[in-house]
Amino acid sequence: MEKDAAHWIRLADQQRRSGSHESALRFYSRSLELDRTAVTGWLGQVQMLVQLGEYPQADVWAKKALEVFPQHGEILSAGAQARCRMGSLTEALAMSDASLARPGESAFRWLVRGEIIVAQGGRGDDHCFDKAQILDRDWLVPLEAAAACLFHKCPAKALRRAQEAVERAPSSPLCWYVQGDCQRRLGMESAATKSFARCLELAPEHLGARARLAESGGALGGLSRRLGRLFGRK
Amino acid sequence: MQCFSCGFNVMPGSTACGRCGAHLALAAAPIPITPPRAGPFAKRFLPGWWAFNRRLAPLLLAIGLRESALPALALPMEVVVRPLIGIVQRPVSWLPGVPFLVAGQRAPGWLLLAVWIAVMLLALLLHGLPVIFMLLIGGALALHAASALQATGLPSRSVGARLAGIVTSAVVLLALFYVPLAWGAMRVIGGSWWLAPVYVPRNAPPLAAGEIIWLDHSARPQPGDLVVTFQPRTLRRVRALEGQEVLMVNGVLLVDGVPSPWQSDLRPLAEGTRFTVPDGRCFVLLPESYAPGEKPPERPPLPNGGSDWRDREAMVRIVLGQREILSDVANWLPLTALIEGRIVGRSYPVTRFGRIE
Repeated sequence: MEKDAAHWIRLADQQRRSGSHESALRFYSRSLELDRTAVTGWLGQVQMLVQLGEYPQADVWAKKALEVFPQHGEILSAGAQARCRMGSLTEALAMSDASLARPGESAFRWLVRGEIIVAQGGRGDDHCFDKAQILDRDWLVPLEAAAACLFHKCPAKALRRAQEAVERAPSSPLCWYVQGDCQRRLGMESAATKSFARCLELAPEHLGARARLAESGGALGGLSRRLGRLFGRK
Repeated sequence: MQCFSCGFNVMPGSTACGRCGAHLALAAAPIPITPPRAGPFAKRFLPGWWAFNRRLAPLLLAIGLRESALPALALPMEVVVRPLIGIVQRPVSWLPGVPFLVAGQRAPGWLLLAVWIAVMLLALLLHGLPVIFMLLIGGALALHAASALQATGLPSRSVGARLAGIVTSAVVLLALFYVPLAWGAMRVIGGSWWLAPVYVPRNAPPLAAGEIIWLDHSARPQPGDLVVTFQPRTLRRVRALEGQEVLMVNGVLLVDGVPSPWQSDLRPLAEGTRFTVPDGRCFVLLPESYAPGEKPPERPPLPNGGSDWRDREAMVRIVLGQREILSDVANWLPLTALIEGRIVGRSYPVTRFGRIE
């Protein structure tokens, strides 16, 4: 059976939903190799590069994609996201403005707008994230909003979005993992432990959750041991 | 043939869509299956730089908001703070023309870069003419500042604001780019921390009036080095170092019993002169004014200081102040106190560029 671009994009989406951004990036690239006129491939490639922290590369690929699809709203937003992560907020805002001015609406445009507002430390991010969730009921939208808030060191905002993602997709280990990460950063150790444990139940091979659980278990275990010694227990 | 971006019917063979401008050739170009990734250097250092940028960015935006709230403060903040932070924040502005290239404006970018390089080269060629040199460097700096301003995103609110922005950018670039560049060039050329140009005001063979020589202030002179002394500035050649025995026999200068390679202008030394150079001093004489092996020409006895730069009164004052001095043109100089530096080479005129032996 011959594998076409749509097949690789499907695989990439699956990997993206499981949190394997590296594999997703490879599959998006494969799809692009077969069909360079598929905007999903270009967009996914840029989004995965951003998720992997390769911002200059994401910026370059966003520019390449914009040559093929001039003024494409989502690609403009993806470029804005890369710029935002590199700290060029003025340019990111300008690109986001341009993307929102394009006809049509999409969750990703509002997601990026919300992230830029979070990076600015301004208000109005809730409105943008809510708008994104209204436009797309997929659980990936609140989860990516949570990841963006976490990146910009706003774990309280991130937790709210992560909880929404968990409500929408309770069987997704990635949602539980991100929620646990938010809770851990907020100092909610027991809740974080439960979230990581749930993630491990759903995906026993999830290395991140296992490591986090070991960390929190080690810290708590150490503390309980010390308290036990303090009160004379061996 | 249809544009895959907007669906417009384009002429076969077109490289771009006539309606949306989509790059049709790029869509057909092969794409590497391995996605581009950052190198180890970028992975190590860039995240910290981005984190710094992300912390700085809200501050910049806050300044922008304050500008709109307080128009009276807008100009100084705009023209001083934004170029300052913008240039530091964006390394792309450190090279002239590159901000235009990055912005996709290829023609002005390349033109600016080419003109800047041409002006800098011209300035280097003509650095012996101070006024022209300063004008050329000023022009190059102005071009560079205008280019950097493009990267900082300063809006051209008024001509005054733009000019003030260029001045601020020029000052920042001077400190960030030109001074380190000059320092680095000196390090490369001379290998010393203290290499500096010196203008030669009068003929002093082997130097001619109007030339520019480079003095290495930090290097310890070695026998054979041409050195310049302090106040008055005189040109001397080091013949022997501390602890070496100098002997004049049959018109030949012997250093530690071996004939010195520099046997010219030995007139100040009488036949049979014998001494040991004291510690912390070196023995210097006038430099030879003729090629090695050539017979020294007959010259009148040093009118007005002869082949050095000083006037006779100043020379006499120095002579009286130094007891070790043998004559007006030969003396023992303290290695550090009286020697300004070792001559490394000549940079102007360009036709005589090179080392001075």
